[in-house]
Amino acid sequence: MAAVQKPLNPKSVVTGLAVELRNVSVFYSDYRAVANVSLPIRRNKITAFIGPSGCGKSTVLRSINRMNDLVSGARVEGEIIYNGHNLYAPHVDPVEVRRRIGMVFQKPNPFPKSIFDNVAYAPRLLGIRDRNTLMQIVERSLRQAALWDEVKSDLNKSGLALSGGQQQRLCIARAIAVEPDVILMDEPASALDPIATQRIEELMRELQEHYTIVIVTHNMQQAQRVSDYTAFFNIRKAVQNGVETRWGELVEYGETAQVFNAPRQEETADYIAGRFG
Amino acid sequence: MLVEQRISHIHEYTIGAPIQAIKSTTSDLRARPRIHERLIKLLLLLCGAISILTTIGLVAILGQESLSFFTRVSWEDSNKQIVVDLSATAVDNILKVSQSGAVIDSEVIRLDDEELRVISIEGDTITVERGYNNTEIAPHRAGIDIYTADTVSLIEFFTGTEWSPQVGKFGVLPLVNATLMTSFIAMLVAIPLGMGAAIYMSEYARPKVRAVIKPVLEILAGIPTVVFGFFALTFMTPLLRSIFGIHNVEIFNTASAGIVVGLLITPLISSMAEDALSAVPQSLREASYGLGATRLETTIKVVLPAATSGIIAAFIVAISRAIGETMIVAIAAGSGPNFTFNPFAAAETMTGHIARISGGDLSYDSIDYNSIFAIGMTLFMMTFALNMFSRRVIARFREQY
Amino acid sequence: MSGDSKLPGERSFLDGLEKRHRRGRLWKIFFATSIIIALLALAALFLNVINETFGSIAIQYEIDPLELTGGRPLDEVTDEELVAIIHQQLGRRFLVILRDELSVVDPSEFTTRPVEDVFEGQAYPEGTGELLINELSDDDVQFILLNNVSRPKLEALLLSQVAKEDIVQSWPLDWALFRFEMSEETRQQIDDIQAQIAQLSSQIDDLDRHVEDYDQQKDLLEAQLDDLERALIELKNSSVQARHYVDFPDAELIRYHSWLDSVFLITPMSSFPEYAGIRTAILGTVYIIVLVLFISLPIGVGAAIYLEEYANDNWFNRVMETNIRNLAGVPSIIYGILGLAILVRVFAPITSGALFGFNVPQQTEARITYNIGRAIGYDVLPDVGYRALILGFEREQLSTLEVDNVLTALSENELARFTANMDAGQYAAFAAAFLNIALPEPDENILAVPVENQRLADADFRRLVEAFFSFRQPSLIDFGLPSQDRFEQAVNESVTVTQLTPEQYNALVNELRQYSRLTLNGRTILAAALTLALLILPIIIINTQEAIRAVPASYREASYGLGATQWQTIWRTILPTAIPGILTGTILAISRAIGETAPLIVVGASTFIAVDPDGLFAKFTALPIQIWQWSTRPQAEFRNIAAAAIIVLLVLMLLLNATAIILRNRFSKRH
Ligand SMILES: Nc1ncnc2c1ncn2[C@@H]1O[C@H](COP(=O)(O)OP(=O)(O)O)[C@@H](O)[C@H]1O
Ligand SMILES: [Mg+2]
Repeated sequence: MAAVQKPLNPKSVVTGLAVELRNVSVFYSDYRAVANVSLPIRRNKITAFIGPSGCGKSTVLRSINRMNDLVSGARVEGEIIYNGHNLYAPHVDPVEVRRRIGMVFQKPNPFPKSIFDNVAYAPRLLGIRDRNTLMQIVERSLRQAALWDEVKSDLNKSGLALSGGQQQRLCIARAIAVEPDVILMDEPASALDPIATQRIEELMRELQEHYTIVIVTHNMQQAQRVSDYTAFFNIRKAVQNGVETRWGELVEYGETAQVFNAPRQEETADYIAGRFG
Repeated sequence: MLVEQRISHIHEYTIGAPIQAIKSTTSDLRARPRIHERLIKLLLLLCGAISILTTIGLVAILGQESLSFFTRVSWEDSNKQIVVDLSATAVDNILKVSQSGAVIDSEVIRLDDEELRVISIEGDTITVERGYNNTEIAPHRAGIDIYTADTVSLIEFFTGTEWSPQVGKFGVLPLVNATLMTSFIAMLVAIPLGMGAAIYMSEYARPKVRAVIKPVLEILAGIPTVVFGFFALTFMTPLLRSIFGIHNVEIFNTASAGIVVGLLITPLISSMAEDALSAVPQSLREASYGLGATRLETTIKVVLPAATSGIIAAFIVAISRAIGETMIVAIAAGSGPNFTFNPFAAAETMTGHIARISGGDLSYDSIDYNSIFAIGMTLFMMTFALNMFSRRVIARFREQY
Repeated sequence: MSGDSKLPGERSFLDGLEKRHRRGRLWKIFFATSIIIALLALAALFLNVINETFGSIAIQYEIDPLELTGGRPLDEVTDEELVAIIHQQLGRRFLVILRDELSVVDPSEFTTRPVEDVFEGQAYPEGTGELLINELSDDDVQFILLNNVSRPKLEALLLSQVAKEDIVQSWPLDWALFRFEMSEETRQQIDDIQAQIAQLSSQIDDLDRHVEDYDQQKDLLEAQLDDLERALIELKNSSVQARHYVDFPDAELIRYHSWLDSVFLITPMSSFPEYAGIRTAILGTVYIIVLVLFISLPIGVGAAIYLEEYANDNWFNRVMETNIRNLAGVPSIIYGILGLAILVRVFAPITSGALFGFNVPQQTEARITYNIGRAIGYDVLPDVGYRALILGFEREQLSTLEVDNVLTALSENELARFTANMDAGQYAAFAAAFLNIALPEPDENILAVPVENQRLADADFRRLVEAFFSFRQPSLIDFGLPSQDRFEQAVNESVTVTQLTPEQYNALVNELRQYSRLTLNGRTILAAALTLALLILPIIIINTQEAIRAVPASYREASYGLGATQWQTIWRTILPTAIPGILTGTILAISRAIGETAPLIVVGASTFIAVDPDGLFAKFTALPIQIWQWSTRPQAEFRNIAAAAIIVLLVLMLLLNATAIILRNRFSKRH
């Protein structure tokens, strides 16, 4: 795939929206996992995706940086607009998309390499070879990820030797080393203990200054405390010819305070109150 | 068969009887010795022990016969004579020998039927111990030839560059060299091909394509090696000769054999390496793609390093297989030891030599018979060490995830 | 933030990205190429085999078949006439055909057993059952061939034995398809060149006669001749027809000939590729594989059950487990060495079958008698009447077809000595008995060999030999080596010990020791099968272990929960569930065994066997052995039949694998 003619460079466009989903449906082979999602992702804000398990939160999130390309048979319909480009237009290079829209996964997945090499991984891909430059990038990223003080003495230690919470912050540091525009986080704290979770939550608030963040969470309190905007997804069912089909849909989107305190949909209210899911 | 008979036995005891047994002894829950169960266990244990016996047999036979290869004495005429008569008394322990003839350097010499142990040599005077090895002390006339005892020393065996048993030359290097040459050429072919195929299947191919390619490669791995040998001789050799010139490439040559051995072990490398690559967690790949890496970058910088030990294990197993491979080299590499580094020249490998020597009606206790065990021992130790090593590496690789 | 960024700018990022993608595409092509090369190699392997199996041949006859049939085409000749022609042309060798094609008894007994035994189960003329083969009339022997052999076989016999058909050249399939025809132009050129060559040659010959002065001119002509000959070689190698036209103009050219046909499958070995078949090799392979299966399956499954179900984690079991895995990586030729040293040699009484009364050496008695004589300095040759007797042959045998046996019993030197002591009349009779086999002229020097003065009486010697032979059947207790005590006793009974010097006695014992080792031939189907069974045992064990491990733990628990004992659980629950896996693993192992060649070579496969194997203790050959043998022969025609044999081997493996799949599906449906 050829690189985009017009760069996707975020700095060239000034708008309140970082990403906009327009009528997005995601299919796994013939199975439609999510249907007709339209949603804005605001710049330098934290947007939370909430909803019961299996409603398609991760699926939507992963379609924003084309991670679903890696799943054979996965297909996206509709448009995801990023800086005026449809990310699914034929000429768009997914590698470039992912360089600009980074991702942090549910389970910490540091490479079996040293802490330094983990963070320097993406800058090296961009052709940076100079050790000093790399060092500066690594330090800045680790500082931003609030991990620097804990690991600065042994950057050559394996990333796998860190605790779970540290590993996840390492993954965040790794993601921000190339200064992406948007960071997607899929339940980043679900595998961590409360204290580590708190660190990550604080971190997100700090990162917000530089980055647009989308976070999937199943934890209502987390969404409420951390995010500015919330999107609530739910599962729809239909019976056709005696066969039940299920798919996810966006039910409600709004400022977090509004969604939690004055949901427009009864469904949302039920979910938030813990009546199902 | 045996097992089956045993089973019908058990049916009689346990299936026929239990109803009554339960009625009469419901309160008695004491463990009953089950003799037939024990017997079965013993029988099965014996089945397993056969593998141990095999190994013991292997090591014992290779060791014993190699030992007799290395201790086998052959007498050689030194062309030196004694110049003074020797009487049949034990005190005559000094020999005067002629100037001409070969230098005497063996520990034992022979005059007629008597063996004498050499204690020291000074110029043309040799001090000896008479009647060595319980041979009879006998008088010897001046002018008779001195025979020297020659055994194959380990040093001669492992450093000699000529293997011709007829003239008492037992240097295994030409054979080892040919084996290493074919194996090296094989690895030169198999590593890029096997790794390329493994990476393609694990990282690039869609599941459907993979489902077709994998079994086809397995077919390649399942073809008898004698067929590969035929292929080497009737296809690869003419091909090489047409490329490099009929005068540069001999009919039998290590290049052709090596390349075909390479094709043989390619599926081995590709399947083991693919297993190692597939075992790398998907999450690592996702992390890399998520950071904006291309497929190649992800493969080279994340997947391959993470699978290193599995891949190395694959290489080692493949080398060991190449070293032990017999038929291809026996057919295509040449018959006749030849110490050469020219891949287009004929040279016999260790396995090829064993196959050729034992192909005829080998008579026991001949030097040829003993020599195949010495070579076999060398081969066995090489492959055994490699296999042990690869299992270590694999074990470490399992620990990683 | 962008101000203090250390990252490359937009432009260089996009350029770099382009470069990264280019590199990615390049390597992807390399990876895909690897697979394609591997697949091409596989295709080349198969095509190469097919290419060699089918193709063109040029056949030449020593005697034109038309001449034999009086000008009639072969189809018009009746069976009776065919047999008569064969008999007429072959004369006494006609009996050899009967012996090789039809006799069911050992060749050495062909002339000494009655017809009803020799041709048991086959047709022979009424009333001749009691007779010996030599007593039959011409019509009778013709009757036997006529009534027991099919028409195609008769024709083949005529062509091979009488007309002596010979394939003078063969071409692979690609030549038959694409380089067969010779253009008219080429033919013209060839004719031209050949005419020129003839002319030049005669010129050179002329010059030769005039010697010296013409050297320069001759050199010139010879250079021309060389050029012409090179041109001719190039031309004749341009197509099948051209080669045929130049080199074998009289030969019959067949464009499409298949080396693989039904005759190839059902005829035994031959030294001539055009008549060689693989019947004995197929039978050998089948025998071996069936045996291997019976040996290794129960043991392998048993060991796997032990390791999975019984073995607790102690050092012994761990060693066993590791050991099995290491054994799986031992090169197959090492198993061959193990088989040679232990199965063939140490267990020779068992693997040769001598312990059970099979294969007790008969043929070599003559040789051994001779050796005993020599060992004790008793010169057999000048002494014993018509030496044939002491050599173990019946007198009348010498005049029959049992020439081979006598000849193999004697080395050339011995033969010379043997004949040296005959008078002219005896020599002539003896030579006549050997038909057209050339005998060395009696050697004057040998006549001068002094006769030992210290000798036994003939009668003593004969008794000694008998004592010796009473030990040829090793007993279970002695395990191959008759104990010296018992031997001493036997010798003492037959010969007064004082008649033997200590040296003679020791030589005799030594001879016995040699004899019992050398004459037992452990290179049998049984030894081969045991070797291969050991070889595939680790594979079967490992595969079975995996199959057993794949049985869900819940099955096991359910069975124990119902009060079953451990063995009941294994036999009724675990094994049935694991059977598909075990079967697949076993079949894979067996396919490996079928193709194994190296261990069989070392264990001592025979490379030429013309009689069907008749049991565990038969000498053997196998398909891969024949492929190996034929591949390494210099004549191209052997390559063709090697390729044909490869196809047979691959088909056999294919069948086996198909069976495995069918069996597995059957079983997995049931459970
Ligand atoms: N790789 C995949 N292949 C097929 N179906 C998938 C895949 N990933 C997710 N799904 C399906 O898509 C639906 C949404 O899944 P997901 O996005 O993971 O939900 P959530 O993250 O909200 O729990 C589920 O029904 C799930 O089974
Ligand atoms: Mg999810």
